[in-house]
Amino acid sequence: MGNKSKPKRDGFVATHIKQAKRSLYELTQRPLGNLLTLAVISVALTLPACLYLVGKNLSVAAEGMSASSQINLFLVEQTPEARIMVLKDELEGWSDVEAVEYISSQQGLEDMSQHAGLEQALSLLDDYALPAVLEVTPSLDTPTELKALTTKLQQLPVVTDVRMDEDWLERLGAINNVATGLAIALGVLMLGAVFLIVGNTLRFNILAHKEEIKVMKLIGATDSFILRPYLYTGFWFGGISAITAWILTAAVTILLNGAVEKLANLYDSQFRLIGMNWDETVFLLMTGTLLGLMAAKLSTQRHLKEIEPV
Amino acid sequence: MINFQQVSKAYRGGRQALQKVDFHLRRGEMAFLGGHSGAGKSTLLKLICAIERPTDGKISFNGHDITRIRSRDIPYLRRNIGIVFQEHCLLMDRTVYDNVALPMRIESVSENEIKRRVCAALDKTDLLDKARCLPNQLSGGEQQRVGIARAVVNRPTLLLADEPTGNLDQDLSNRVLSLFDEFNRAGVSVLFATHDVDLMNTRPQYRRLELNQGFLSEVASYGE
Repeated sequence: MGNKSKPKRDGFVATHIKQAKRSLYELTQRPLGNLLTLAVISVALTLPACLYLVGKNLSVAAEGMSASSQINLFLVEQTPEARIMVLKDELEGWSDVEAVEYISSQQGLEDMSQHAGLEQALSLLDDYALPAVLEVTPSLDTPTELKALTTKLQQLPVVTDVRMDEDWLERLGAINNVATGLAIALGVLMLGAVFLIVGNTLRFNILAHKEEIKVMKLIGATDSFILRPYLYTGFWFGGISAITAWILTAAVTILLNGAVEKLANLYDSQFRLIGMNWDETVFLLMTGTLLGLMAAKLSTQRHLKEIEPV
Repeated sequence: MINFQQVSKAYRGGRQALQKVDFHLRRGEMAFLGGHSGAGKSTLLKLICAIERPTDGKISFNGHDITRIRSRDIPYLRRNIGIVFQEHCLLMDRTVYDNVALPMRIESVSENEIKRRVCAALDKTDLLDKARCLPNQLSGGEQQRVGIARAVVNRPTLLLADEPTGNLDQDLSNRVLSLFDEFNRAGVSVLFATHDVDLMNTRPQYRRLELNQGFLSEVASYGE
């Protein structure tokens, strides 16, 4: 038959848009099963996203702490005011000191009495004076330099004790490291779970359509044509779940914000929970979608080969 | 059109399905492929559309050697061949229209063109009023005609029919065969496998190839 004219074909993009719509439509045809799958994938994506936010907030919180790290110099009792002023001026002249604030013993008492509940305690300390304190704000950030500065300050004549929040900061840093490691490990596991769920769901889809695939192969469908609907199903699974995961994460952030604010207030901090920014949102959506697509491709390609005829 | 040169096919386990088969089906020619079940008719058809590979010999289609065709070229070979199966192989969850449209959807033909061609094919097979039905709402004869409509919708150069009348009575068989007559008159080469000798006898004008235990022979037609 020589008159096999070339019929008008749809373009590449048109074909794909058509298929994407069709796959989405087919997801709605089996709502309950697909909703369950989507819910499982969403939760599996929400968990690493939340862990990531925990890590991010912890490091922001830790940063805020170290930025305000101060060295307190406790001075020998009954040191004359003039002597302290001279010392203050001297310290302010140092290159590694940014600012020095003087808190007299009187002022220290006043500050303390402003905190609720401490008034009564203070009345017990009637004849006991608080030591005068010089609050030194260093202009350094590295722990070793800070250490050097503290030893230098320790050797000053009227100083009895030097205190830094260092120990506490170090512990916070270590906790942060553990949390980050845990978050990464759990995140990888959860993403692996997403991969397996999508792959397995599509494996069942392929097996359920075995007869149809056989017929399609017999009438000349290419593998990529046969796989396309499944790839788009994986694409939608990943994409929709990523969007749901984003919403869930945002909901968790909003719900927890009140509690965290309260906690921060107890620590005298202005800290607020930070949600996902634009970049992270895009990253989450892309990870979800690509993961769904990759899982679909690997799983369906493998199972397509098992269906005869080749 | 199709050229077999000394083609043999042995299945795993050593069963010899075809032995040194030689034949040539010319462009626009129609031929019966006879022989009782198990004689190798299905194997021969499977070799043409590359479902099976020959163990020996050479097969060419339209001048192309398809003996060792690469897997990724197979779909394009099959798009030139319309296949009608004994058991229809229709998709039961799709309408008659969608079933017939399938070969064109595979080639990403635009929907307007699909509509035109599918309607033409359904009209030819007398199924236009059944377009919205599901296959299992149709009778056996009608289902077979859907299979034929699907096979011809994208105007293949060759039609292969594997016992398309196997489940039909005399009258329906004759009607189905008439359809193939028509397509052949339009220039399509047809290879029609059947074990029904009476049916073959109604069309003495066509060549008759006979398979017996894997050996192929040409039977002289009554018409000559």
